[in-house]
Amino acid sequence: MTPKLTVNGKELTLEISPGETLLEALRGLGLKSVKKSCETGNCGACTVLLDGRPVASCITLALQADGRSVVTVEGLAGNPRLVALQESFVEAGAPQCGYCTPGMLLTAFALLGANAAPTREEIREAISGNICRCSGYVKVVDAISDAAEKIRGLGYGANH
Amino acid sequence: MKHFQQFLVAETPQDAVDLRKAAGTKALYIAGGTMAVPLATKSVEVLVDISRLDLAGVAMEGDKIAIGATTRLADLLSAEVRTGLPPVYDAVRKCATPIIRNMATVGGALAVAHLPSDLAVVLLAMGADLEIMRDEKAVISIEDLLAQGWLKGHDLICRVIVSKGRPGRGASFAKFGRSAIDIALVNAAVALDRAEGGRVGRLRIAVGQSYSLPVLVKAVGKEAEGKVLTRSLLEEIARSAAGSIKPKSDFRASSEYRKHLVEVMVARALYEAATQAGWKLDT
Repeated sequence: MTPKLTVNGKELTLEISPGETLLEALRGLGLKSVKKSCETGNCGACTVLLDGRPVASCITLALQADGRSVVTVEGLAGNPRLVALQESFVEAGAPQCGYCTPGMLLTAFALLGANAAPTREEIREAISGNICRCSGYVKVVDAISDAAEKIRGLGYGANH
Repeated sequence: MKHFQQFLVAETPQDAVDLRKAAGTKALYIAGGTMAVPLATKSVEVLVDISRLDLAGVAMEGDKIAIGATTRLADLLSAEVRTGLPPVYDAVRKCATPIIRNMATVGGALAVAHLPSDLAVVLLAMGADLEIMRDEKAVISIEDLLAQGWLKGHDLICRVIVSKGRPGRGASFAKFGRSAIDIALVNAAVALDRAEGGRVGRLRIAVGQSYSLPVLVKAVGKEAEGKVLTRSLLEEIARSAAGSIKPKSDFRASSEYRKHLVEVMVARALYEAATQAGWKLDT
């Protein structure tokens, strides 16, 4: 089948078999920030934004994304909200081993788009589907909280 | 790569039923995919995509709320559901993770009632109805559909219709799992009406546990009706509810442990429902 997917802003017509997951299709396109891990939707390493919302690409079939917009961290390079998050992650030492980081960043990106000033509790709730294998969530929460403050300082609205 | 051979997109509910019928036992509906994609057995070769049916949304209909089957669980975490259906809001918040809630739909969460589904248990206690497509459209209560052994073959859930809360009525949900993402080891929901003089009016207790369909513990509810609700009656009701359930043992929990959890979860939900309905059981 040949679904049309908008991947990081570009409309692509792909050759997809019914059993192919969105994770497999995206990694096949060279988007290696999308990590393959639990393959049951439990861990969040494969998180992408589907029509702006974080979803698990490992349990989404590529055909389910037909006509929809898919965004990975590659597609947000240079975006002020993502850059602020990336800087805060580095400053806080939040990536640790780094495997969960792309998923964490996308979840945080969506959170800050909907809520410019989340509480620590709201951040913890938002990232509860992104499991950190190094089991260190404190620095991740610090980083997201810090990035939110920076972004508010920049005066960007929710759409940036 | 999953093993599915065909992915068919349904345009209308009738279309979905026809596609599913034509493919027979090899077919499964797919909406969010959080169950179908990771868990479908090798015998499922055909997926009928119902996510594009025009069924999503939450609508106020007088004193009732209608929820479309393809509404994402995340979309139930709204101000109107929080005020109109607090136990539904609570059950959704306790269900899976935000990522899964962005994908999973209301219809899908109900279809897997036996897991047990948090949504099925809370809506059973609240006396909700389902609008389903069989060979034609039908409205049936969750209670009656469970009595029939739940969904069969090509049955398609289209909408859930549930009454909003009102003064003197409490409804609450309680769940126990090892971690937040876990499917419940035991969940329970209670809907309770307060009658004259602090007596128990209508009482509906629903319990879900370990791969069996949710149960409405009817006799226990009936037994309590007309009695003045006290802390000790509450404990007695929870004990009787646990006594009427025979949970299975598996690697996640023993039957005895689940039985104990039923008592605790029913007591918690009942306490909360009673507080909402106007009882003050601490004094």
